[in-house]
This record gives sequence, C-alpha cells and structure tokens, in this order.
Amino acid sequence: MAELQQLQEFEIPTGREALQGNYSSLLRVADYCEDNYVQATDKRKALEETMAFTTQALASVAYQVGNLAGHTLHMLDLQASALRQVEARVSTLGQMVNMHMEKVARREIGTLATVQRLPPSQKIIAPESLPPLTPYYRRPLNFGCLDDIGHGVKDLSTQLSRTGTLSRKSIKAPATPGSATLGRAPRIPEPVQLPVVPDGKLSAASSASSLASAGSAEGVGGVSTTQEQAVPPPPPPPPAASEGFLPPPPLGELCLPPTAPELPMPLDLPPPPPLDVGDLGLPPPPPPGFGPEEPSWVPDAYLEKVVTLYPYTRQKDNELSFSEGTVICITRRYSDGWCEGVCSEGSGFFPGNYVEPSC
Amino acid sequence: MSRSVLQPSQQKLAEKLTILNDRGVGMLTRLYNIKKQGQVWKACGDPKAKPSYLIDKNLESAVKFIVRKFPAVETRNNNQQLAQLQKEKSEILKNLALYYFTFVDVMEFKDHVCELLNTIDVCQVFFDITVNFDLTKNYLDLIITYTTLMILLSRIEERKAIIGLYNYAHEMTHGASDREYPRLGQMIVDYENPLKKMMEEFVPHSKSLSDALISLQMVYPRRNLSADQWRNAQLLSLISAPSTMLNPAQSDTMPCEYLSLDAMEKWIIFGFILCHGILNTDATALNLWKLALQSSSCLSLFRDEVFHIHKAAEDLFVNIRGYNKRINDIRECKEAAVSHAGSMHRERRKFLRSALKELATVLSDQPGLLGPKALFVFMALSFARDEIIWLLRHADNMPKKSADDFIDKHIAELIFYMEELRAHVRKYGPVMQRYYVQYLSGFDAVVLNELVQNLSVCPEDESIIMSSFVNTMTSLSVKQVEDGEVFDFRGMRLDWFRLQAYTSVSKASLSLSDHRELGKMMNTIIFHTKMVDSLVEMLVETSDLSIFCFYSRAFEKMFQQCLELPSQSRYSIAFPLLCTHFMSCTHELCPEERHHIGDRSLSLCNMFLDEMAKQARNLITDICTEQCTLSDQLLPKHCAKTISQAVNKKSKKQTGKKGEPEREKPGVESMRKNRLVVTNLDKLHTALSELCFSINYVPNMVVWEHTFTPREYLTSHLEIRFTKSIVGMTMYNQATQEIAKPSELLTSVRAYMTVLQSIENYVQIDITRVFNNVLLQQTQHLDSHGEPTITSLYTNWYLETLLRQVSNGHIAYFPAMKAFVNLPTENELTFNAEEYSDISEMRSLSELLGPYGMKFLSESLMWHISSQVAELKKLVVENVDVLTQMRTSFDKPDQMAALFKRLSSVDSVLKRMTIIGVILSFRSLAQEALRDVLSYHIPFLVSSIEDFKDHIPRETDMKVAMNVYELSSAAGLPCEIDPALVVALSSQKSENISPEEEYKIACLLMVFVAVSLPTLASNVMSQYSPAIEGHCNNIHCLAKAINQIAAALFTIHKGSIEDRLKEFLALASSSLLKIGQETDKTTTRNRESVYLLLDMIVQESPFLTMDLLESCFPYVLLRNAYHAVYKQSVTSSA
Repeated sequence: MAELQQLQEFEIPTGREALQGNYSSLLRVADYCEDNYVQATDKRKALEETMAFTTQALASVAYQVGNLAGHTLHMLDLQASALRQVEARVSTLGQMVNMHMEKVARREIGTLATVQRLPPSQKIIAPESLPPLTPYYRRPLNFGCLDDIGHGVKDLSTQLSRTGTLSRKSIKAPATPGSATLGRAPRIPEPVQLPVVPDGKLSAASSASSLASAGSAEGVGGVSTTQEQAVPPPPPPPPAASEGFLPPPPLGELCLPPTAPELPMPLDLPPPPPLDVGDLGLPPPPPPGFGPEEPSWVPDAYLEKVVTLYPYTRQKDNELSFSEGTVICITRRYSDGWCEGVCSEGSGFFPGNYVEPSC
Repeated sequence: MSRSVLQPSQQKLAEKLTILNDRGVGMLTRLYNIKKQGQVWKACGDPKAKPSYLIDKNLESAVKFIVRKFPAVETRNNNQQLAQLQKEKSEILKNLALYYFTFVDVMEFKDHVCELLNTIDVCQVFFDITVNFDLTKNYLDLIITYTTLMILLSRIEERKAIIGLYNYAHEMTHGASDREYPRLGQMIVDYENPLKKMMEEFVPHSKSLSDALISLQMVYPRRNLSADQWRNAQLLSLISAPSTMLNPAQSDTMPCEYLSLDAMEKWIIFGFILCHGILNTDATALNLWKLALQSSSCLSLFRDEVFHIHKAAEDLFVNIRGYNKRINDIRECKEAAVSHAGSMHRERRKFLRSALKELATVLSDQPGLLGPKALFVFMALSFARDEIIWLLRHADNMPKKSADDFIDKHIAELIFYMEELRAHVRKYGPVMQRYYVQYLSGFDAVVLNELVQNLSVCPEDESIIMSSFVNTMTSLSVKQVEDGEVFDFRGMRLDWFRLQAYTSVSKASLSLSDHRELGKMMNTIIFHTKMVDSLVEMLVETSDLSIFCFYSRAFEKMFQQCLELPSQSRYSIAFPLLCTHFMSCTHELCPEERHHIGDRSLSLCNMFLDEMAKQARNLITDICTEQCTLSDQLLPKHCAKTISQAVNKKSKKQTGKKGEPEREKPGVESMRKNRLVVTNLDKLHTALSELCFSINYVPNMVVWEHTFTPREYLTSHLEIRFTKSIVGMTMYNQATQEIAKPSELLTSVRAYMTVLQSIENYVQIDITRVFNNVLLQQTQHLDSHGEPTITSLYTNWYLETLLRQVSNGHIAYFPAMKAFVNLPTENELTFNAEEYSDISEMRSLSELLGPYGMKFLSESLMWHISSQVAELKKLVVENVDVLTQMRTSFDKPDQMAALFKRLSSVDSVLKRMTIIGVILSFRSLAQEALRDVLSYHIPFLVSSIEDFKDHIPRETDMKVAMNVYELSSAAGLPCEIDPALVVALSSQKSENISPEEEYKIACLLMVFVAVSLPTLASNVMSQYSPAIEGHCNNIHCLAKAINQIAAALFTIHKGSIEDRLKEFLALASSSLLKIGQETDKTTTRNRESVYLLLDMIVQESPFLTMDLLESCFPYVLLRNAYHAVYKQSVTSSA
C-alpha cells in the first residue's frame, strides 16, 4: 500500500512534472537553437549544435517517458492485485450471506419437521462381564433361614435343639453307630460282615482289636451322618438333654426300610446312652501319623482330627470360627450333631456336619 | 412322646415346606442335568459335560461288574476287572464326587420330606385349598416334587454306575466304603419302581393327602372348562359388562384363579396314585381323577421329561386285586383323552387368543383398568401359559394320527399377546401399586380388623401376627408409591403361611376350619400385597415359558411356521421375546447349567432376529426390484418406440388402423379403479408392514444381560443387501466387458433408495446411516468386506475397455461434443462410446462415485500416464545425443534436417503422447462432470474452494500451491498443474539417475516431441475436422498432453515451466515452418491441420500467450490454415 501511495503521490506526479518541466525547458532550448541558427555565422556548426541538443532532448524525454510508464504500469499492477483482494473479500462476504440465508431457510423448514432420534447402537451389546460361574458346592439344609422374615419363631435355644433332636431321633435313629452297622447289614447281604456288627456296637472307636478300617468307618460314619442331617447353627445343648426325647414309635418305624422285614429286630434298639457317653470319654487310639511334629495346639487327647468343609462364623462366644480346610481336633461329640474341638485359633463348639475326617 | 413336642409353632411347618420345596426343585434340576448331560449338553459342544468314565472302554468291564453286583461291594475278587479302576481311582473320586453327592443330597432330601410328612400326619393338619391355600399348595407341591424326584432318579440309567464307581474308588483310596453308601445303595434298589414303592410308603399319609386333594373338587373342574363354557361366561372380558368395568375383579379363592392347571393335574394324578384307596370310597375323588385323566395323556415331570399317565396308572393298578373297575376307568379316560383332548385344547387356545387380544387392547388404551382387573390379567396369562405348555408337551409326545390338533399355526399370536400383557404389567406397575396400596390400607385393613375383633378365641401368638397384619396395612400410603419406595411384604406373607400352619393343626385353639372367612379374606389380602411388591415374581409364576428352552426343535419349527404365514408374521417378535424367559428356569442349586441355558437363549434369540430381518430384507429387495423395473420404464431410451410409433402413424395415416397395438405407457400401474385387485406389490407391502411391526415392536430386549436391538438386525441386513444390489445392478460382465450405463445405474439406485427411505414409515431405523455407509463404501476401491465396488468396476471398465479402444483408434475424442465417439470401422464395437462418455453419463458417474471415487479414477488414469511417460523417457535416452544437438541448433535448418534423420522411434513418441492426451482429455471430462455435480450438492464448499484457488498469491511456495491444487482438483476444478499427475510422475523417479540427468531427459522429451510434430503432416488421418473441432486420430489431444506433462515434469524437477514451453514453442514452430517449404505432396498432406496444433497448444496453455506464438510463428499462417481446413471440409462433405 505504501508503495502504491508513494507511486501515486510522489513518483508519478514528479515524473510528470519533470516531463512538463522538460517540455518548457526544451522549448527554451528550441528558441535558443532557432536564435542561434539565425544569428550564427557558421550555419553548419549551429546546425550540429542543434542536432546534438535534439538528440539529447529526445533521449532525456524518452527516458522520462519510459520511467513514467514503468511507474504507471507498476501502479496498475498494484491496484489490480488490491482489486483482486477486494474481490476475494467481496465473494467471501457473498458466500457468508448465502450460507446464512441457507441456514435460515433450513431452520424454517426444520420447524415444520419433527426430530427423529435414533441412538446409534449395535445388534448385540454384550455385558461388560458376565457374572462368574460360581462353582457348585453342597450346602446343608438350613431350616432357620426364614426365621428372620416376619414373625418367625425366635426362641432359638429351645426350638432348634428340639428340632435337631427330633430329627435325630426320628430319622437318624438308624444312623446312630449301632444302627448304621445294622442298616448296612441287611442291605448288603454279606455274610462276612455280620460278625463285625457286635464289635462295632460294643465299642466303635475304641476297639483297637477290630479291623481299623471297619471300626473307624462305622464310628465316624454313624456320628457324622447325624451331623449331616442336623440343622447347623444350634448352640450345643448338654448331651443329657437328648435323653429326654425318645423317638415316637410310629416315626421310627416309618424310617425303617419296609422292604427289609428280615431285619434282625433286636439290633434295632437304640444304643444305650451310657455307651455313647462312655465312648466319647475314652481316649482315642493314637493315630498312625501322631508324632512329635504335631503343632503345639494339638491337645494330648482327642477323638479325631477333622478338616472343615465349609467356612463357619461363630454365632456365640463359645463357638469356633474357621475357614474352609482348617484342621480341628475333636475332643468331644454331642449327640445333636455339635462337637467340641481344638484348632490353632483356640477351642470351642462347632457344627459337626461342617467337617470331614482328615485321612 | 408328649404332645408338647408337637407344638405347631415349633414344627415350623410353613418354613420347612417352603425351604424343602425350593430344595426339591434344586435337586430336580441337578438330577435332570445328570440325566440329560449325555443328550443335551453334548449338543452344546461341552465335552466335559458327561463323565467320560461311563463310556471309557478300559473301564467298561469294571462298570459292568459294579452294576451287576450293585449295591454290594466286592473288592477282593475280580481283581483283573478292577485293576484299571485302581489306576484311575483318584480321578474318578474327584470327577464323580459332585454326581455322587447329588444322589446323597437327594437321599437327604427324601429323609427330610418323610420326616415332615410324618410330622404333618401326627399334627393331623387340616387341608383345604380354598382356605389355607399356601399350606395346602405347598404340601401338595412337596409330595409331587418328591414323587417326581424319585421317578426322575429311577430314569437315570447310569445311577448305579456312577454311585458304584465312586464308592469303589472311595473304598480303594480310603479302605472303606463311603459312609453314606449303604443307605444310598439301598435307596437306589428300593426305588427301582418308584411309584410302587411310594404307594406303599404313602399308606400312612393317605388321609392328609386325600383331604388336600378333595379340596380341589370346586377349583379344578372350574378351571378345566371347555372353550364354549368360557365363551358363554364371557371369561376375561372387560367390556362385556360396562357397568362393572371399574369394580375390582374378585373371587373368594383369589390364588386358585391363576393356579397352574398343569400343577393341579399333577397333584390329582400323582396324588391319587399314591393314595389310591380313596378312589374306591369317595365319588368326588373318583370324579376328579377321571376328569384329570381325560384332559391330558401325559404330564411333565420336569422340563421336557414327561410321564404317560394312563399307561403308568394301569401298570400300577393291574397288580392290585379288585381294581378292574379302576383299570376300566383308566382305559375309558385314555380313549377320551386321545380323541377329545386335542380339539378341546385347540378350542381353548382359539378362545384365549381373542380374549387376550381384547384384554391387551383395552388395557393399552386404559391402563388404569390394570388396577381393578389385575386378577384377569394374571388369570389370562396363566390360562394361556397352561395351554401353550400343554400343546408343547403333547405335540412332542403324541401319536401322529391327530396331528392337526397339535400343530397350532396361530400360537405366535397367543404368545405375543401374553408378552403384550406382561409388558403392560411391567410398564404400569406403579399404577397397580398405587391402586392396591390404597386398597390394602383403606379396605383390607379395616375388614380384617373387624374380623379379628370378632374372633371368639384368639391365642397370643396368633393375635400378635394378625394385629401386625392390620398395622402393616394401615401404615401404607400412596405417598410411598410416589416416592418410589420399595415395598416388601414377604414377612407378611410368610406370617400368613405360619398362621395357616398354627391354625390348621387338629388341636389348635383357633381353628382355621371354623373360620373360613378369615382364610378367604387373608388369601385376598395376600394377592393384593403381591400386586404391590412382587409383580415380576407374579409374572414369572403365571407366564413363565422358559420350558421352550428344552423344546428347542419345536420352538424353531413354530417360529418357521409363523414366518411362513403372512398373517402371523406380525407376531414373530414373540419368539425372541420368549428367549428372555429362559434364565428364570435356572436354580441356584445348579449353577452349572446357567451358561448353557444362557448361551442357548442368546443363540436362539440371535437366530430368530436374524431370520426376521432376513425375511424383511427379502421383501424389501422384491419391492425394490419391482420399483426399479417401473422406474426403468421412464428411461429416455424407452420413448424412442413411442416416438417412432407417432411418426409412423402420421406418415401412414391412410395405410389402415391395424398397426401395432398401443404400448402401455409407464405409470399405468398407478391407475387403480378397484381396491379389490391386489397386485404383487400390494402383497409385498402388506407382508412387509406386518413383519416390520414385529421388528419395530421393542427398541431392544435383554437376554441374559445381553441387549439385543432387533432394528439393528434389519439395518445390517439392508446394508449388506444394498451393497450387493448396487454392485449387481452394474451388470458388469468380465468376459464381454459389458457394463450398465452410469445414468441407468443411477436411476436404479435412486429407485432403490426411494424404497429404502419409505421403510422409515414402517420401522424406526436410520436409513440415512445405511445410505452413508453403503454409498461411501462404494466410492472406495474395495468395500469393507473386500468386495469390488462400483468405483473399481467403472474405473476398470473405462480404462480397460473404453480408453483401450480409443488408443486402438476405434474411438475418437470429439471436443465439440465433449464425448468419445465411435469411429466407423469394420469391427463394430459392442458398445457405443458416446453413451458412456457424454456429459450426462459423466455426471451420473461422478454422482455415483463421488469425489473419492473420481479421485480413485483419476489416480488410475494417472498411473497409466506415468507408465507411458516412463516408456517415453526410455526413447529419449536412446536418442539423447541427437536431441542434445538439435536443442542447440534449432536455427540451422540443414543441420536440423540431418539430425532429424538420425532420430529413432519418432512415431512411437507421438503415439504415446497422443495416448497420454486422450487419457488427460477423459480426465478433464470427468473433472468437469464432478465439478458440475459438486456445485449442485455442495455449492458453498465448492465456491469456497474456487475462491481459494483463484486467489493464490503469486509468491506462494510451490508446496503450498500444490496443496491448494490438490484440494481444488478433488472438487473437480481444473488446475494449471495437475497434482495427481505430479504425484504419479514423481513416484517413478528412478534412483540411479541424478536429478540433473532427470531434468535433462525431461527437457529433451519436450524437444523430441517438438521436432517430431511435422511428421504428423504426412499422416492421412491427421486431418482436422471442424465439425468435431479436432483430428480423427486424436492428435488434437497432444495439446493437452504437452502442456500437462511439461507442467508436471518441470514442477517435479523444479524447472521453469514457462521457459521450457517457450523453448518447445520455438522448436516446434521452426520445425513446422520447415514443412511450409516442402513441396512433396505426401509429406505435407495435412500441413494445415498440423499447423493448428500450435494454436491449440497455446490456447490450452496457461503459460503461453498468442504474443509469444506470434514471435515465432506468423498468425497469418494460422489464419490461412483454418481457412484451408474449413474449405476442405466443406468440399469433402459436399
């Protein structure tokens, strides 16, 4: 721009003025030449002088015209490019106006239409992660699980022990040590097994003389069947309490397999309770694996070493809490399915159906 | 045994029944899976499903031995058979433990059930389904679950093998049998014939059981009515009695109204088998028994395990003395069941279809009625569910003779309306909650309170419970519903159950049998509480159809039938919706099957939705095809016949009227006079709208936590089909090199798009997205599946077919027509070039291919040019010395003539340059068409680009300028320097030649072309034709070639384009001027025509001006040349 201004305001006018100045000075030169020629004596010399002047004048005029023309052209060029810029700006403006009009038009049309909202989606959206496949594990039946809903029977101490007792007496009657053996005998007609029966009945766990396998199987099997079917979390009642509840005859009868009428009836009698107690009180035979490497918490005398199957959290202060796979030494078994035992955490009561014998 | 032990409150009858029933279902699920594992899950491809030991060859003999000796255990002998077992014992112990312990759990369950049944007997519990509903129902359910479990157990063939194998392994490992084994073994043996054993076992329970069953005497016959009786009673109809429309639907036995008929039949059949004695003494019992026997021929034990009742009952009774009468009953009933049951149920389904439809329609219009008429909804759902399950069970297990009754083509409609009702209940849950909260607090609480006040005796426990009922209900308010509070009446319901147990034992001080009113009232209240807090559970209880999961073949068949019948396709969405039920049949005691069932629900749902979308897509395709044919009739080419007819008529007016029959004009099909006339298109539209109703029915559905979007299925199918159709409609034939004209393809595509657009009227899909996806993909070289697109097909065709024929000399470019035109030759071409290259075709092509496609086309063209340039460079290298000399000595004519004779392959250079020119001409046609199309589609963008290009400042860097050119050539604007050509040529720069050398070769190429031009004059074909504004041998294209190649080459080599072109002009004009002096007629035959080339070159070039030309070639010569060629053309045409 500055260049254009310089050209317009200074260079071109000065050039033109110079040209005009030249014009007048040339006129003067011409006059001089004319006079000179008229007055001159040496016409030839005057003519030559005039010719020299003419040449010089032409050259200077040509130079000046050329200069001026160059400036003018340059000015035109500059103006042309400036014009182009203006043109570009104008066309941009024109476009902006057009676009605005188009937008307005579209908005007007849009007011006549409804918006269609279509959320972009895919055929199947899989969940972030599926709930993991929890492996199945056996859970003992718990008849107490609904007690908290509504007006359940809250009197746990009496109620549940009774239920436990009842279930033991009615159904589990054949499952006590004596009858377990008995249950086995008629079903599997094995003549070899019969002599074992009285042995097991007399002293299941303590009879070191009897076959170790048979003895332990019967002893453990009998007791833990009871545990299996008893309700888990009752507090341990005194063992004597069970004595008060004899099985109602019709119930006991029902549980006998009707297909086994040849069942030897005398053996069906429930084992005398003293035997049970005495049995429990007897020190166990030293297990084969017993040695000095036993951990310190293991008591001197215990019935059996067991491994827990399920975790259990104590519900009373005198109970044991344990996780799965804890080793416990049973010191005492109760007929309602609860046991007393010692583990690394301490000693206390726990439900017997939560454990299995460790072999 | 003192009575005090049997304190009812201490027996926890209610809790035990609830827990044991749930446990029983869990045990059933586990047993079912053990039984089915071989058959079902194998199909799901889970090899781990079945214990492989049972089919292991090595263990075969051991397994046989074990099963034979079962349940005895003999480890000492038979060592050779058990040796293999010894090896695998630990594996067996590990893998069979779950199976084994499931059996142990079943035994434990059985023990508990027996104990509970005994307790109930001892308590002498009073059972009446109409009074103590929960107690009776749970009692009967428990017995049925127990029975079913034992039957199912006896049906597991491998049970002895599994138990035996495990025990042997246990014995071998631990030296002793498992402690449960003896009892378990005995149980398995005892229950070989489960029902027989249980009949003996149930002798003591028969009093309680028969009492409970006989209480069904009112309920069951009322539920088991024929369709006609239903119709006469106007069952489930909301509008039959408008005056009572707002009254709540009431009954004395609310829960019995929606009790499953299936369950009742199971109770009756199994119950009376177990206490068959009552059949001989009680006529009511006998009636119930017969009625149940007549209505079905089989019952479902669990899922798809069925039990053929008549045969089983007959087998059991045949051994009992004096039961001839009973056996005759059974036979008669069997006859009746076979001959009538099918049609009776068919009629019921027919009635239910219309009843449910009415219900759903009325409720969708007036959802408020869901409050008072909730009972109707659940009854309707339960009835329909029973009928569907009945059909499913019998269709699978029926003799073929009466197959018609067992194929229901309209089943989809019934399922659909069930789903609709379910959707209403879910959607308007709060409406129902609101209604029943007010009901409970405003009415039920008051009535119950009054009832309790009037009780003569009320022990403490009972009164505590009942006053808590009243308190709970009075404390309810509508505000809680509005606040979205979560209600929980489970405690209240369980308390009522407990209360039923306490008051139903024989010695209860408050005996429910004496206060039936209380029972009925409470049952109603319980229904009302369920309407508030457990609507979803109610839906599952009354309308769960997850059983379809286990009848997948029948399920798929029904779906196929539904799709085939146009009137039913409207309801096809019912099938995928059913898949959402599947997970409700799983039980927490059997987590193993969850994934299998989930997978099955997913795959079925996916399959159904896919099939529906496919069907819809096929219909749409058919409509599109028809529409394409119709729009095809509107193509300009078809008017030729009409015109010729009109012309003929005029000229032969007198020749008679017979002529050709008047042709039908397009659009005739729209003139309809009778709406009874149904065209094919009408049928397609009807079918489509029906099917689309289904697809549009739900926006999405959740199956096993996966969200399915039915509409997306349609969208994706449409995308695939649209892509295929577009490519198919090009009708490209590789062998004959035939292809559809772009304009015709465009018409077809537009017709297609119009039809697709109209789908938005049926289904809410984003068809624009489909267009964008498909059409955009078509502008690429390959689509997303790697298939060729129309871009690649057309590019290929234009390059390989059209342009090849041009270079063969069969086609010429006519600048006057802006098209390529066939030249008359002896071998007629299979296509008319003009019909593929005129302005309208090129515009259609750019419309179809879009800027991306056209860019691809240009790039392919440029690739061809670059290969020609490479050849040209080779020729230059051959003549490099001569050309160098010629370049410097252009002002010495003699020397030039001598040097020219030393040049080789002059013709080849010109030919190649001509080919380049032809390709560039085609490109400029394409660019021009693209610009036209784009300035219509994107006017603002194009004008911006134009501005941009027009105002590149002079001093701009070349790189920046090239970017602008790139942009503008993508929009179809012509550029001084073609960026595509620059890119193509610069990519072939060879490594072993220095840049200076390259530059020199480029300069010499221009020299070569310049000095070769005069040879064109001797060619006969080089005649300029004013009509086409060009030469028939396409040499006019040289002008474009020279300018563009020079521009591109010297942009790459950073030379001055202007200088090089000036040099070219000087050389060319001097060489051309030379032929002006020649006298030989043959070499100067077309001198004038060739002179014109110079003019064309200058006209074409943005770098050269006429002034420049004037300086080296007199304009007079050009003027004379033009004069001459025009004169010549006039004489030749004359």
